[in-house]
Amino acid sequence: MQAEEPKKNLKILIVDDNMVDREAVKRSLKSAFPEGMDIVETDTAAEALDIIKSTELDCVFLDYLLPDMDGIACLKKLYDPETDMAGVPIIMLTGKGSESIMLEALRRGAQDYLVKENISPDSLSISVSKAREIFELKHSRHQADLQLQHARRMEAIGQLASGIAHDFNNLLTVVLGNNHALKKRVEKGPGEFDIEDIRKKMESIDIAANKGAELVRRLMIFTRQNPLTQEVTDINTCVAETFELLKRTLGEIIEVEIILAEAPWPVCVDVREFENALINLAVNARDAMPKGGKLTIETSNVVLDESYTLIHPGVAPGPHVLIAVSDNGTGMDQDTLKRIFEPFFTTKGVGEGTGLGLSMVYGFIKQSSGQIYVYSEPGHGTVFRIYLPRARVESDVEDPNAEQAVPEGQETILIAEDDDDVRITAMHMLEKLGYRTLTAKNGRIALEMLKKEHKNIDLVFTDIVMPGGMTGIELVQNMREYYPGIKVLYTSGYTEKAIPDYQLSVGEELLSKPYRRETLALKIRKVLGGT
Amino acid sequence: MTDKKRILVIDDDHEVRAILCENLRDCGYVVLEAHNGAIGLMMVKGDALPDLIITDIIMPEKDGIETIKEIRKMHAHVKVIAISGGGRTESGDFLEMARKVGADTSIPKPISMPVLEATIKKLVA
Repeated sequence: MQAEEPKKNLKILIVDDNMVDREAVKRSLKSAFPEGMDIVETDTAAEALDIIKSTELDCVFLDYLLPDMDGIACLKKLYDPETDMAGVPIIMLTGKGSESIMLEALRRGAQDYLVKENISPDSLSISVSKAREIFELKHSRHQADLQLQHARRMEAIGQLASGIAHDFNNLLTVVLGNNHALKKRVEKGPGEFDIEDIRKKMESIDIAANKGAELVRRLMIFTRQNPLTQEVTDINTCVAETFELLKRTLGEIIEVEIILAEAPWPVCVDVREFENALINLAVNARDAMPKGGKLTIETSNVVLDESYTLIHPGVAPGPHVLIAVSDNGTGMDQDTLKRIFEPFFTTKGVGEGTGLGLSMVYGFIKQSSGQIYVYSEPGHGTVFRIYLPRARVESDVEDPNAEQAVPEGQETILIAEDDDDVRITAMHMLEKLGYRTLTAKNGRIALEMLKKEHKNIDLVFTDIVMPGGMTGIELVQNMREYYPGIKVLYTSGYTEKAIPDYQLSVGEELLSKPYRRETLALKIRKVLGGT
Repeated sequence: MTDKKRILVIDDDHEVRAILCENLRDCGYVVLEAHNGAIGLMMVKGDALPDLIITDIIMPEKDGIETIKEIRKMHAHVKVIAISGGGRTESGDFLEMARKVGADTSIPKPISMPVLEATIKKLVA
């Protein structure tokens, strides 16, 4: 029979410089947990940080106002972005209820928040249980995420191993075959062999070995083992310098246009690898345009806000340089899009593509702390968006995250958008700006809603490419015939210059995705008038 | 000389095909080349059937498995050696599959020329 482990007392840290408040918390804790507990106390944030680092605790009560540091600053020091919380459940205490402090505390990794005057044995008991439960849930979810990532990585490594075996075995066959031929010639004896023939065979061995080395180099970038030579760079210079090479590589049937931001923020990248990434994307675009087409590369400064990062995990909010590579080729279906960055996944015929190009681009962008997304419509084209975080340079003074006053309104807007996340985000943004909204997930539904509600609708905010048999352009053409007074704002994953099969007329407005609340607010008001 | 054995080598990798063919010619065989299964099949449709066919498995147009199946439909007795460097995205044993659909034997890449030469001798001696 196995002996039961003795039940351990809870170990709780109280951080408060006011002794009376500390005693009140202790008294309530003792009533809430009569079975006993170990309490540790301190009156400074600095000492609290030391205790938390060195002691295994079950919960921490952290006062918001401390003599050496406020509670939020203390939370920031404890916050681990990997797990989105501190390493211990934390309950923030404050003298007065403040919604902004509460939200900030929860955002910075606290699990609960208590106003001191409301403290009682019951409220403490509930709060401690809740904090520990939330902490455990998040911790378990993080562990599950790690396991999933590990499983995916193992699957990718399996694919890598299989793919590399195929390519390497071919290279080794070339080496062995040439070496075998060389040996046979040497065995014939001096004077019996042709020096030029020998030189060609040695050259073939060299080429095969170098191809093997290049394969390893590419794999190392994918597996992020190869250090990059990162430097603060003007991305426009990189794009411009690649332009000529791209034109030569892509051939005459592909028109290449570059549209550069006026003053792009600096980014920190390995210039050679960035150029390789651009070439990789361009070659993929060329292969998607067998009968010719147009490749557009645009650079711009963008500030990603939290609404964008919520639906695009993996990218941090803040200033980024966007490099968009668009083509008007065959596009890709959803199944292909899901697998496009997997190593050795290729839609090209066997022997025509390594299936490594886009996975290398992905690996490189991740290694550069950036993010890459792909948006594609079968039959229309594809756009790859690379976001690279702005590099910090000493002359930085502006804060692009600073809250800006944005124009609001009360009109009614019909949102036509097939992507559920984007539609809901747009709805929330517009409602927060004061607008009333109606939503439709395709052009036909939007047109039906217009028939019923046209008297109440002031503006149609529509995606251009939508499934369901009616594009945004067709929706607007239909709408203008019957309801010419309703204003229109287009939106698209494409940039304005790269919209497939359509050219905006004078007066028509487009908001490129992703968009920030501020940009949306300004565009909406520009179209509706009244700014 | 009419008793020189004729070998058809089907492989999409130009470098691999070139060195295999060169070594086999050095051994005295008459060697024909095809860079995919479809071309290879066209070359065995006429009367000039080779004595032995060496075919890679993973190739564009028509892969080695399909190629071997069609060869067997036309010619029950021609000798076939399947070669492969392994799957590109799967770890499936393509060489075993090749033997099941009619290859006489198989050799994994990288190809050792002495092994290939000995195998050919056994099959077309």
